[in-house]
Amino acid sequence: MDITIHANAPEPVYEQIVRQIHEAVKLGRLKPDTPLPTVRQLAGDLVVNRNTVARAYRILEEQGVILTAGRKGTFIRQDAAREVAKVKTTRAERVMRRVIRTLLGEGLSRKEITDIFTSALSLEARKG
Amino acid sequence: MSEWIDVAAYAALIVAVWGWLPVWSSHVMVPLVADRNPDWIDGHPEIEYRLARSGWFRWLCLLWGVASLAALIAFQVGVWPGLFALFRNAPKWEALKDLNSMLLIVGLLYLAGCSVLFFRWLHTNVPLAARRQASLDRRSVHDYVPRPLQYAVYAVIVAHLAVWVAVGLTERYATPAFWGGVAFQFAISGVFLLFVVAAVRRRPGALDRIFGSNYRRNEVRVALVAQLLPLMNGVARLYEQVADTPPETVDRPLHLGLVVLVTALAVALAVWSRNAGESEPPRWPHSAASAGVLAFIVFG
Repeated sequence: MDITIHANAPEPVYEQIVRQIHEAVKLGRLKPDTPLPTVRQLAGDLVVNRNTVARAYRILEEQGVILTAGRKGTFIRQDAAREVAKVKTTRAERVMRRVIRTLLGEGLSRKEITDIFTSALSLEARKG
Repeated sequence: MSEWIDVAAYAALIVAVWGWLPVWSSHVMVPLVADRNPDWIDGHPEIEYRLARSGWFRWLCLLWGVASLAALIAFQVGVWPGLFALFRNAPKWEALKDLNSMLLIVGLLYLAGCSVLFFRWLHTNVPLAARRQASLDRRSVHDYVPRPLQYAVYAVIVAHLAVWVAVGLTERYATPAFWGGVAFQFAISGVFLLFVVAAVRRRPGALDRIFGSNYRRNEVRVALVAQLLPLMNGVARLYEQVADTPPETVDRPLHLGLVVLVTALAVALAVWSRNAGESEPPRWPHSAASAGVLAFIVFG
């Protein structure tokens, strides 16, 4: 399985790596226990700084997607697909909470926010 | 054994190294640039043409080859007496060996200089492609070489080094010179191990595209087996010391064997690069030639 980075893209390279590994796990291209390349190998092949790949791996490890087993290397975790899904819901929840905080700060009531959300959701659903 | 056999072996090496290898190098230069940035080379056809032709580089290689050949023959037939002064005290076969090694090393320094210039030019003038790709498959030596073969090679190497140490521990050979030889055997085994590591770790690039998907597997296998080259030399040196034989008995055939091996590798490389992409991947790839050349320099 290949990974592609665009050095000139607005998205940082480490995020591109994290995103592509998420997608590969979600689509079943990276199965549990699959070994990942070492930081040195991936950084060398992509011609990026080792810290960039190390940062991506650190994020994936914190998210519970990969597991670093010392000298044995880095592997995809058994429950990686579930963790990837959880990462998405956590991120969505964070965004929602930020919006709700802003709206509460502007003086809207809970009911008004719920009504706005429901109508926006049905509008988007109709579009989609 | 007639010295003409030595001259013939050295002449074949000169033709292979200075006649064919530069042609191979010029085939590799454009893919190396494309490997860094394919769009850049597409936009600079004039540079692609110049690199593919690499006129002065090839002519200078050829010139050095002709000069080396002339020097060897002149020395052998005795029409260049001034050269004898350089190797006055050595037997003729050894003088031929030293002369050839000297000529080869000077030429290789020229090649190394050209490589440095080329890569400096590449990194200065060709911007790295913004879009880059890599495989998420982990590479390890176990992916390319069956474990029994690895264990066999390393067992032989360890046994060889252990024999050197064991002989050094006996009273007769416990001299600083002998222990220097032991240290050399350890160091050269380490250097050849680096070839294996480099073959596994190197970034996929032009050579994989030129020679096909199995290139790295063959490269790693050859680099692994090439670790036995210093061992052959070590065994011969140890035999020389223990049996107290004259160098001609072991050193001369060993050196000539090495020359023939390096020649065969250089020819194979040149032939494969001609058929690049058309046929099967090579069985004796680039790292083997590197190991061979290194072995020649070290043991020459």
